[in-house]
Amino acid sequence: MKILGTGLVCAQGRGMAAVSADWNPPAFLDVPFQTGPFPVYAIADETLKDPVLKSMRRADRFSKMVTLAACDAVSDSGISVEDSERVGILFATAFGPHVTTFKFQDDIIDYGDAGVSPTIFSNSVHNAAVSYISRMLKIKGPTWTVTGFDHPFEEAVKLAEAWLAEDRVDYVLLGAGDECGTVMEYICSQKLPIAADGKITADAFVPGEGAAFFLAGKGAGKLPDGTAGKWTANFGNMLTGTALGCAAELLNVLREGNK
Amino acid sequence: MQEVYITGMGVVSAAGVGVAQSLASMAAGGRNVGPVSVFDSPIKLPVFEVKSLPPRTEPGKMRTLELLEMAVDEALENAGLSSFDGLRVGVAMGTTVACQLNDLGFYSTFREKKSAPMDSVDGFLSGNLAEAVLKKLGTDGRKMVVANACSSGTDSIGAALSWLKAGLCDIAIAGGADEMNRIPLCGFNALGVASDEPCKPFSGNRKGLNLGEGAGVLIMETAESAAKRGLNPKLKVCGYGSFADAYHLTAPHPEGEGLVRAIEAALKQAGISKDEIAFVNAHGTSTPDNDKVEGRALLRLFGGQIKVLSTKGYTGHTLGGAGGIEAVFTAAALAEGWVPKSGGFETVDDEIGLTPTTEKTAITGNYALSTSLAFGGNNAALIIGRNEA
Repeated sequence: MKILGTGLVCAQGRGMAAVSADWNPPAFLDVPFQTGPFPVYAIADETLKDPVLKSMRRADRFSKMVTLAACDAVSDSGISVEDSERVGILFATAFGPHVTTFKFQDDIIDYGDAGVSPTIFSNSVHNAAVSYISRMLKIKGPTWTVTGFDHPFEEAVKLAEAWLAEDRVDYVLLGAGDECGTVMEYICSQKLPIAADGKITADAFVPGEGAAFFLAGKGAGKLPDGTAGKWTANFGNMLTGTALGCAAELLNVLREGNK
Repeated sequence: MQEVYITGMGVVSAAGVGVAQSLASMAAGGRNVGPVSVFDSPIKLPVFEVKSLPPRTEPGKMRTLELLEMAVDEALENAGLSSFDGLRVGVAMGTTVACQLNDLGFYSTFREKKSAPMDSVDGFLSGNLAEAVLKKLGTDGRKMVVANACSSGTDSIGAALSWLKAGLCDIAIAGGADEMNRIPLCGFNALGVASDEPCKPFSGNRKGLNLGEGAGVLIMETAESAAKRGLNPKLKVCGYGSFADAYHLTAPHPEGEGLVRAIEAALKQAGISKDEIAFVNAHGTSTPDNDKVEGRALLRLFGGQIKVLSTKGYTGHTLGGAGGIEAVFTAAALAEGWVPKSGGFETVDDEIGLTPTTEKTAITGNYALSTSLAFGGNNAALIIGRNEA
């Protein structure tokens, strides 16, 4: 499987700029579940302001983050994928758009079962982000979202390789991503030792968010190993972080080559 | 490329617990539809619930996983599988509810008290369907939960087919499961696609879908593995196609573009012509849009003589479970040589022009098609064949 383009959106920024920046501390948020600030490698709102997303007025932040990374991967490849049924999307996420899922639950609590917003519901399902990508880039092959807590991105990579090998598609827009939100931050605080100073170590975690995409095609090549966690200090701890690590490695090689 | 056989099946839905009970229930035209009983809601819409779940033994365990385990147990017994020693296993499951922390009790407590017990979180984190099934089997292997909304179950079978043909595993357990849950009930009610009367797929007087719950699972096995186990399977998974509409977040493409491509791709992979399809177990949700788009596409592709039914008239729309449940029903019907009447059908919709099966109907062909159309625009088609074909 040959990697033809890479897109990365994370707390450090976007694309090559995200891997060229020196380490930045996470945001320290006021959260309802503890008195002190809570560190999160959150994506700045500014990062998600891009004309490419102008048609996604009703989309949530998760879908915008994921779509931006996907569009960047396609743009980086220089390959036209529009209107193609020979291109697929395979996106892995551990938790999906949970902020919107809880926003929908807010609706139920605040307005009752029959008073909820259909738009929020539509955006709360796991595959909403991929649906936006499919429509924006007019990708008409298989458009999939897969989920898991144990290496979901690695499973997506295996299936992408199989799709290419059996000629189901010519290209796969392969990616992964997860977001942060208050409830997930609370869960992290209950399940993990959190690095109060924001500095990630083997024993201290800081939740992160971001998305990475690769345009993969047929041919020799493979993704770099993203499991080493070398880049985790830049974008925080995520169950789909290996995808971001892979993207950071690839972009860093390009950056070094451009020097 | 390897042939991929079906060596076991398991199913649970409002139509019955187990393949035999489900077939008998559908043959008799039984429709176990009624008000929601598994949670309180002021939304009084008819739903299809499973009434015979064993008492819950593990606090926080998701109902979806309980349903799935019932189907997996039946499928494994049916396949004669009690040990996976020496076998490379894969589990691919579709769902919608089980991939989200859809516990309103947990969230409302958190909102009010700024903290909440972790029981439901623990149940969620240990309830990824593929990971949980592998754990139950005491083995490791490929694992994937497909979250493509209503095509998830069919797509998970497609993933397993790719794994097996690529030689990534010997045996795959694939299908889908979803529970009756307050979140999608509120959501589908808000979208205006849920009916206040029992659903009537493809009927001219249909008013919308009814939610359902359940699980359906196939044991899929390479020819080599089946031969090693001394099996002579009757059925095989022959083809699968998946294509997107790239059209709208919730509505299907008016001409069913992605669905038609998915069916054509499945036929191509199966190496058969459309004339060899004996019947279609359609997605048939009973919503005005789905049935019009799907029914017209099926008529255009297959002509007016094709036998079509929707089993959602017996199960409701089980969302991520639908593709798995309908694959089991499709396979079982092909093996048995008959399909039931399309549950709930009353009058022909002139805008579609399709008359689904109106009585228990004998079928004689060797291949059957099951289709799924998803929220988000993905479409999937699965072709199951008799092994002697």
